[in-house]
Amino acid sequence: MSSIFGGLEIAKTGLYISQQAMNVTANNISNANTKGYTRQRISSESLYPSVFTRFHEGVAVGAGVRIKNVEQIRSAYIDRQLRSGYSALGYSSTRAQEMEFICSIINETSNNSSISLALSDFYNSLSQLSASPDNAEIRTNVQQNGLKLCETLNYYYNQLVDQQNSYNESMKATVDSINSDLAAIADYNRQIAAYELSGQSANELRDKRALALDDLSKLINIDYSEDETGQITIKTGGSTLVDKNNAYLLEAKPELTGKVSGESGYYQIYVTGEETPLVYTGGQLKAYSDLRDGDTVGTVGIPYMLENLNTLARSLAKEFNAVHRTGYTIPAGSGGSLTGIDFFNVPVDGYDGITAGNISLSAMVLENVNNIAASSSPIDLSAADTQEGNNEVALKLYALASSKDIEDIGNFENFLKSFIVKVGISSTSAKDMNASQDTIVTNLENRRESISGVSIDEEMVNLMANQHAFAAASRMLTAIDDALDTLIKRTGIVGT
Amino acid sequence: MRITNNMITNGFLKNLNTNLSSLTGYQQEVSTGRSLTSISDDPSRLISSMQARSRLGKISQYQSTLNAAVTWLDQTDSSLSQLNDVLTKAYETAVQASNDVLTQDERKSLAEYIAQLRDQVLTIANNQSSDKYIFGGYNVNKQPFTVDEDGNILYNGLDLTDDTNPELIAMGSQSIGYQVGYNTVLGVSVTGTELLGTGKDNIYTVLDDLYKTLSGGAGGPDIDGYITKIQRCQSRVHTVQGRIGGLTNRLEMLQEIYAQQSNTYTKQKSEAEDADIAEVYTKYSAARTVYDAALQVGTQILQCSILDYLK
Repeated sequence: MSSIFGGLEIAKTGLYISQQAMNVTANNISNANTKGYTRQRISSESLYPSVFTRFHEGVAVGAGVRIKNVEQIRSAYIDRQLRSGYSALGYSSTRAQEMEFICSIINETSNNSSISLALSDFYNSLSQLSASPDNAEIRTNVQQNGLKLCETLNYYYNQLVDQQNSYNESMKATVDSINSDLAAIADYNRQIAAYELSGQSANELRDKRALALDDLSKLINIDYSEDETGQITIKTGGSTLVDKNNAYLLEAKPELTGKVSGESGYYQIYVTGEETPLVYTGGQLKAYSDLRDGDTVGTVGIPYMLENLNTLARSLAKEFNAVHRTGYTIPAGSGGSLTGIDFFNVPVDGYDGITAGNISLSAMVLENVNNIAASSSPIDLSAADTQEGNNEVALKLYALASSKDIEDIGNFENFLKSFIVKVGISSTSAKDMNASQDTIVTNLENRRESISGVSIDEEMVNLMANQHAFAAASRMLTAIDDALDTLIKRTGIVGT
Repeated sequence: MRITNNMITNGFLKNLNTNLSSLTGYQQEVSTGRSLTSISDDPSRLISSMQARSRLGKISQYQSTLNAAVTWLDQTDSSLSQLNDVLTKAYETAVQASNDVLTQDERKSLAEYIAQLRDQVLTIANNQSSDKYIFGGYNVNKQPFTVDEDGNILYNGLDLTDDTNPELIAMGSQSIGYQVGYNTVLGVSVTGTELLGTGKDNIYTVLDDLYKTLSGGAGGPDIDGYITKIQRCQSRVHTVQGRIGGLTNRLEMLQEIYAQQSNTYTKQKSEAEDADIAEVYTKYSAARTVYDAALQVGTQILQCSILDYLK
């Protein structure tokens, strides 16, 4: 027969577990809106009777309940999916946002200022020049519109180079954020391993580490695995970034030059101590590096845009100069009619030295509008036939506007148009990609929330259940107490 | 699927944000009147807009050259009519002078009249359109026709009667070209050599010779030769008039075509860039209804909790 006091022990375990369950519920409710919090549950098991009792008494009643652990409810599978989703989202959201910004710089839909408008105005003044080659005002107009075209190209070029520089700096800043996450994760690894030696799970530390891992996966693509001590190893492109409590931090070395722009101090990313650069394919870091270095139609980045503008600028200078050089100027002062004059400035290293950033009018044309060569024969103001009305070269200059056989370009306007459209499409597709990636991640986050999130309704129901269990266990104690009372006070008093 | 409070809140906020961003989009379209505000808005509209813009640019360039060309041609045409009138009068005078019964005095006064007509030819040949000499070829700023001290007519400093001078022949091709369309350069100016002709039979010299003959007292058969010459001069002017008339027609046709194209491309540009207010407003109303509904339903669901039913 079991001791009557055994019942008290059993009821006590029930009382105790209900109380703890209410604490866990309180904790869940308190953290209902805490970022990264994973709901917790008591995991319990029934206690079996002692071997002695079972062996000797033959009848066995369980010995109550025991708290095994306070466990978290999370799905490692969804976490893993979500983190690869975060890498893609980190890439696509940064890219979409930045491409949109670039599109606001290259504002070709504007009615006030754009490269297309500047080009069109330049053509317009050339067309007027061909109608009145001797008119000084119209010549000034050609000079000013040429200047405007150069300045517009210069402005766009410099804005884009500024943007390229800022992406370079953003890479450095991203590397700093990655490093702080890596250091934090290595530290959590150490704490979790130490805590879990006790056999209890380090729930709160795991929540924090998971949060840091989420954050890290938005910055760079990662592979990770957890070992038996609860510590995770992080790898990117074959390089180990975190191993147990060691973090191998990234280093941004300013050893590159900017593609096309040739700006200095561009960062190459290394794992500290490694000889070869880190290989990464996703996250915000990759988005910035693609924007900084992208020079193909597939990966449109700043260098792609700069290269196109440079080609345009170079070709404008080359073609207009070739025609302009055949023309003759109106004599300025005492000098005669000149020929072989450049319209656009040619730097010392030739046309290859021209970029959209430095294209300018030649010193001659800037100095005097009469140095615009519109005539195909020398102009002599003292002769009976001055030839001032000769517009043959002006016509040829204007014909370049509609020419479709320009080397490397085809037609200036069409080239510009197709370049702008490519940038626009690239931005649109970045937006679309981001929207679909966002949907995927939202869906996964919902699934994670569905598993790990706190539901107030559910907690209240649990609270009621535990409250009742607590009350029942208390009643149990009262009942046993009554029995003892009967036994002690009212048993064996016959005849007294 | 287990639904938690955070899922409801997050979903609500996300959808609200989506609704609000489309509302803002419509609001921006209505207030700016434009639906294409960035090159990343809509690639197909962008292509259409840029195409329309570049065509419109070209058309307005062609139109302004066309207008200049038409002004030039109008001036040329009226000069040619004047010249024709002068030649008609010269012809009548010559016919009158060929009559043998005229007295010496009468011949003299006819000669004076011819001299006046001859000077008028010089004035007409030096006519200007917006401060430019229209018959000087590329020589637009200096009087192209002058008379030297011997009374010979010079064109751009060269003797017009010397029709073997290669320089003079070259000047005949210096008609000023205007680009009035894609790959279309039209020579719209009439050169001095085309207007008056070269050699001894140019209009000025014919009249000058007639004057000299008349004032020398000659009559009858001496004059007959000049009547034929004047007729030939007149037919030269008619030929030029015909060419200018044809050219004017062609330019006017182009003007009409460009006006039409300008309309078409302005419409294309507007369709690509401008907001269709009625359409946007309808979409806006629909979005507004969805937004209101989302707010109402959302706030009601968010307020609900088991706590309302627990005592």
